[in-house]
Amino acid sequence: MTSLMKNPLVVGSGVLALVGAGVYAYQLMFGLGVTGMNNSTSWGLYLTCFMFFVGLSAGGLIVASSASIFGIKKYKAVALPAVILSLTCICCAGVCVLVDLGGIQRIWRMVTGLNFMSPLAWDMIVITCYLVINLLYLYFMCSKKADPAKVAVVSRFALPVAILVHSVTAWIFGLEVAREAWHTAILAPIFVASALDSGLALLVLALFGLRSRGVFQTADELITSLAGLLCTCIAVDAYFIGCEILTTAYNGTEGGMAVIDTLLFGGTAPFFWFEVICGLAVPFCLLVFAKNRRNMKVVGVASALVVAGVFCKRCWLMFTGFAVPNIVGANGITLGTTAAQAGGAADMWALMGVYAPTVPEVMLTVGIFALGVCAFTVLCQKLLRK
Amino acid sequence: MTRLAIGVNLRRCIGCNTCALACKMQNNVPDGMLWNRVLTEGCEQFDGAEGTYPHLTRTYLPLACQHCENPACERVCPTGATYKDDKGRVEIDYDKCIGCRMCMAACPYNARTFNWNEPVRATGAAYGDARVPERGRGVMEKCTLCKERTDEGEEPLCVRCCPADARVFGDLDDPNSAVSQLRRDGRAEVLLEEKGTRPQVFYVR
Amino acid sequence: MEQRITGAAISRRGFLRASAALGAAGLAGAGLTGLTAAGARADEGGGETLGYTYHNEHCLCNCMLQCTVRDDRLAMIQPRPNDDHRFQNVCLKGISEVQNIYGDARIQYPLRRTGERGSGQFERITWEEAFQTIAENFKAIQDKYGKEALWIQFSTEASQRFPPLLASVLGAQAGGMNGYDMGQGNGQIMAFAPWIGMFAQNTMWEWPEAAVVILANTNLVETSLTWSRGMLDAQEAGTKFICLDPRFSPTAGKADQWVNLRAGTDPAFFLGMTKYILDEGLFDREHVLAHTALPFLIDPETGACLADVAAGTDPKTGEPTEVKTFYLWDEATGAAVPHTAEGATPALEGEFTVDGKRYITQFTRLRKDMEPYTLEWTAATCDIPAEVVADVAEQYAAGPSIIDNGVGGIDKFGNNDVAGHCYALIASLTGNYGKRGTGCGIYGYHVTPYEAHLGAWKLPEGMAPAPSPQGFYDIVKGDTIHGAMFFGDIPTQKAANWNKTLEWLDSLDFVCLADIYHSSVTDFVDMVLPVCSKFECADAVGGIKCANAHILANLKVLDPLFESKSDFYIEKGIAEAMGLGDLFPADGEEYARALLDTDDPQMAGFTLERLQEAGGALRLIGSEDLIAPEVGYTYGTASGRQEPYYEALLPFGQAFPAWEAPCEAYPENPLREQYPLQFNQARSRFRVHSAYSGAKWIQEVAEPHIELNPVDAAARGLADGDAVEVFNDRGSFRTVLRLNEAVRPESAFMVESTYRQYLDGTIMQAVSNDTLNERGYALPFGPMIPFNDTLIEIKKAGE
Repeated sequence: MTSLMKNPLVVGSGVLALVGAGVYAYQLMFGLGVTGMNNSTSWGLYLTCFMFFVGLSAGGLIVASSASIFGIKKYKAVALPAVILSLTCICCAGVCVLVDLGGIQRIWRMVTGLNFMSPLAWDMIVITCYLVINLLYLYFMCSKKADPAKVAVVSRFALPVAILVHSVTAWIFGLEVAREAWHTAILAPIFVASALDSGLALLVLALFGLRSRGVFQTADELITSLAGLLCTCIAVDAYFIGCEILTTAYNGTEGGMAVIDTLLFGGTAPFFWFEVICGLAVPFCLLVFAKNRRNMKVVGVASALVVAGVFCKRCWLMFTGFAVPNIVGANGITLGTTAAQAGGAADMWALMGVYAPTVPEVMLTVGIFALGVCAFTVLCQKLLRK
Repeated sequence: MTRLAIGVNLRRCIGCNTCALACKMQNNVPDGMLWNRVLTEGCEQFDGAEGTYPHLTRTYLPLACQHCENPACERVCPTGATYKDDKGRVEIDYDKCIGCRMCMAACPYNARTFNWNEPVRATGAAYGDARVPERGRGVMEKCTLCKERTDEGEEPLCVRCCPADARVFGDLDDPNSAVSQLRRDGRAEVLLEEKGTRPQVFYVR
Repeated sequence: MEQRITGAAISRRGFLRASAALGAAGLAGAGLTGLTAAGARADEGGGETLGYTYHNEHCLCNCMLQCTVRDDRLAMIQPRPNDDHRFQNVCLKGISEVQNIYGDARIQYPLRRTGERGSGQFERITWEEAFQTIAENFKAIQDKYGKEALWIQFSTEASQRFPPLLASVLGAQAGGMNGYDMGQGNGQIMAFAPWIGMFAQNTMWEWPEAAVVILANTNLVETSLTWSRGMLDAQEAGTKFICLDPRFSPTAGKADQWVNLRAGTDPAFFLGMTKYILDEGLFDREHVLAHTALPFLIDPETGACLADVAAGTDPKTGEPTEVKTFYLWDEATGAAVPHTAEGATPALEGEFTVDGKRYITQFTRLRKDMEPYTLEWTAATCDIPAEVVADVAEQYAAGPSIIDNGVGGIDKFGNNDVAGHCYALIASLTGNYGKRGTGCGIYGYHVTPYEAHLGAWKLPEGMAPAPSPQGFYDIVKGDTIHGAMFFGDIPTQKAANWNKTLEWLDSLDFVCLADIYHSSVTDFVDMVLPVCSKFECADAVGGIKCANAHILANLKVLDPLFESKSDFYIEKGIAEAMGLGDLFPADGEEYARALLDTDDPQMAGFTLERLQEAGGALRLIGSEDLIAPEVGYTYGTASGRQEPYYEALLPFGQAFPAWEAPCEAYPENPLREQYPLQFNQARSRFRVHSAYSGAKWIQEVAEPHIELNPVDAAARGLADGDAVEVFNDRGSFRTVLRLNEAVRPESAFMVESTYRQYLDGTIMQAVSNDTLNERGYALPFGPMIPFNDTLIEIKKAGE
């Protein structure tokens, strides 16, 4: 414990996490009005990060479990850090959802009156299962009676659940007929592809981190091999996005063009182009060459770009959905925000979706990331250093 | 069965916003939001016009919950807080709402408004119909089709107050009701029909 | 937007009290409505009571309201149930009162100015101090300069309770001519006497019988909001609505056809139509011969009518009058015959010799006078296609047609009377006056043919306001007034060119304002008194009036809020401080009973108690049919016929209407180089002049701003939402710019009047034109302020 308290990463992230907790208390006191969310853009940074974390989590577990299922022996070496990463990320994802709820005091209603038609209900169930599997996985890998056979059994569940957990997250968005940008059958595959590349990339970054701190050693060959897999995943991700953009744009429908305009030229364009160029094209070009995959620095840079790119992708996915209302007309949508409450027409309405995260919102989000870093570091210290 | 509905005759709508304020008053809707708002369709400015001067058109579009027969909001609500009631209205049980805003993302009409903050009223006090329940912070709200009035056989207040007689209220399952007759008008249409939500609220253009 | 500033400032009005006196004899059946059901519900509610009042007569809808009071607060406003659905009304302004009466803009206590004018620095004083100070100042002024040197005028929402008494009691001036709203009336009044030239002689409920209704200068669906259903019902019945408006107004958007003529050119449009109708023979020849003075003989040189004048007596009043006999050319006998001659075959056109002197018919002169107004000229003047002029002329002439004029647009231009004269001329010429489905005048603000004659509070013999020969528009340019009291914001609403008005305010010894809200002029007066709203009464009743074929009572809904008093009690308080309090009724109930004490059979048996039982409104007896009797073809004009030829205006060259350009906003004005935009002010649904400026619920939907066509904004490098300064040589004000395709290029549009706190401390009327047309003084309603006949330029604020 004392050694943990001396770890500046643990202390620093712990402090940020506590600050985040303080901000959450503030948010509980004053309501979600302290965030930038409003009636035109009703989900913001929290749920964007939720998507992001679920993806990161699923990616790690898919690598870990496929090692067991498909007997990819060399991946077994990183299964334990992968599971720890997965567990940490899914917990962060859960926190993201919880802090986004306006009425957390009534959350027990999710138990007493669950509507099984709701993707959010499925998500709660699947994430719970996923969390249990992660814990079992961890238990079977770490316990003194560690049993490879049991790990293999758990992994057979873990892989489909990991894929499902991210698909269900995708369906929270993809099943919404109201949002042209989300409403596509390919959204779940896109989410899974993003999960694979971002999860894998984060795993690589985590392994680098653990290696540099001497917590856990990973061979360069294994990293190179993971980088190859990452390159493939990037390609798959890019392919799905390409399919989706083509289908949306091809017929030039009104709704489709509104999405394309927003995505390629409008409010979410910076996120989109960052992802396409820095999150997909550049890392792919770097990693497609075997020589580069053997260069740990290049692999590190590529992985970081992939993670950042997928974060941007979560942003454009989320906010393109809210950008253009289906029914356009002045004065637009009543925002319901603090400024809207206090002001007149100029503050009360938005013709298009508007959103900018506020300082408390960013602080709380940073706190969640910090919580993840802190938890991952502590768990790795505890579980890997044996 | 009963399917309560409102038909809005856009040829008669003069964009006066009386329905919007009547709704706000009746339902004690706090500042910064409206359950029922009036749009100047396709324009960036209220009372704007589509086209280029002098080739102009203008349509006012009062917009609130469409009380869909196939409500997207109801399906996605994880706790069943949003429900379709026996009179065909889409309602919210505020006690069940956990503020997840699934319904808000699901509504193609942006008809819902959320209490991001503690509700604030410039009057400093509640107003409207005493029968309307209070909503607090973190709860979703929207047009109830004046549940408290329509339960008692009264018209929604927006219908009662419309100075242009542009709004008609009634039961779509009663073929002789005024609203059913207006629904059969060849020019009656629903918003975003392609979304398949089958709104009970309809518009005559 | 960093700085949100809001809309603006001119407001006028206390609409004329002049009633289109057409009271039809009552028969039976007061329409008492079933209010008991609604009342019962409120009782069950526990702690809830219902109160009744009427609303906002200022927009002349006079909505009858049922108000719910809970915990001593106004909780809800609904239309009062009425058997006649047409009178079961409320609009957004009425509903907004649930918040507005408690709003931040309310004046709460009597205040005395402590800082410079305009500084907004005041100290709170007691009512006693206020009354005492006012009394002293009034007395000093009247002693020094004469009784008539004191000006007491009422306007907008701060008045309109019981008829004012203070000016009568003090012998002060109470305001004479309006200076607004009556410009077209000035032009049409003489043709169809005894019509007063303003409110039409029939009602909008007759519109379904018309084939065409031309909406001239009326934004009916906003300014007569609750009466829009008259238009919409007629439209559904097949009547075609043609809207003349430079702007694609909400009414233009609802009309079947929109004529986007250049602002101030309405007379040109009608002159072009008239010429076309004459050229194409579209006029109603039989009607013209039988019912108009157009076949009468006139001297081609002087324009004087050939007529015999004899002394006679008025059959009604017994007063001596002139009886004129005009002459027609009888084609059968080839001689001039008196216009009253039976069996003549009058010549419509031609030149004839009578007693060796040459005469022509009025009609012949009409053809000649209309010669310049070709379709091409009209198209160029109005900046619209020539076909539109011809098309509207054909539709109008085919009839039956109605011209519904509002009091915006052309009424606020120097040439407004010419427009009104044109309506009268074209209606006479095409037979669109007198029979069903025809007519002209204002329809929007006056929807019943009934007017009851209320009783009055008896003052001692001879006690009346001092004669007030000048309108406020002239008063502010002179030095005859030394003290003033305004109920409502008269100075920013009844005069243009605010900076001049301010100079005048500065010249007064004492000026006091009584108002409900902190209106624009508040900061410029010496003392401010809080008036209560229509929902507040010290007594059981705060006002009685006749409107909408009802007797309406302003019954108590709430006690006066804050320290406010009704205008009645303010007047009475001042009178008491001057030792004249005994002349006033003891309280509202006594005043109400005096007003209800009348011989009018339409009000037989109407008492305060019955009004209270009925929820503040009783339908006039015998007023069920809102369609007025057919106007017919007997007139009080000199010849008894329709007389669109105004001999009296021969010195002005306007015997028949003749084109006269606007006084400032005409295209060729060199001033356009500096100030290229015509400034168009009009009322919207969101406010009645400045009233409701502070209503938060309305502010949530619409805030004051100026509008430009995107083309004009782009030419100035201005963008939507910019804070801008609007200016000309007269002054400037600041507001926010919004872009709107509905605005005619080369013009700017702004909803008139708001409190200056929403215009960054400026006043909209700082730029408006106060040049009066001299001809106006020769017309019955006097000159009109050409608010819209104003050129401006717009730039980014601070540049």
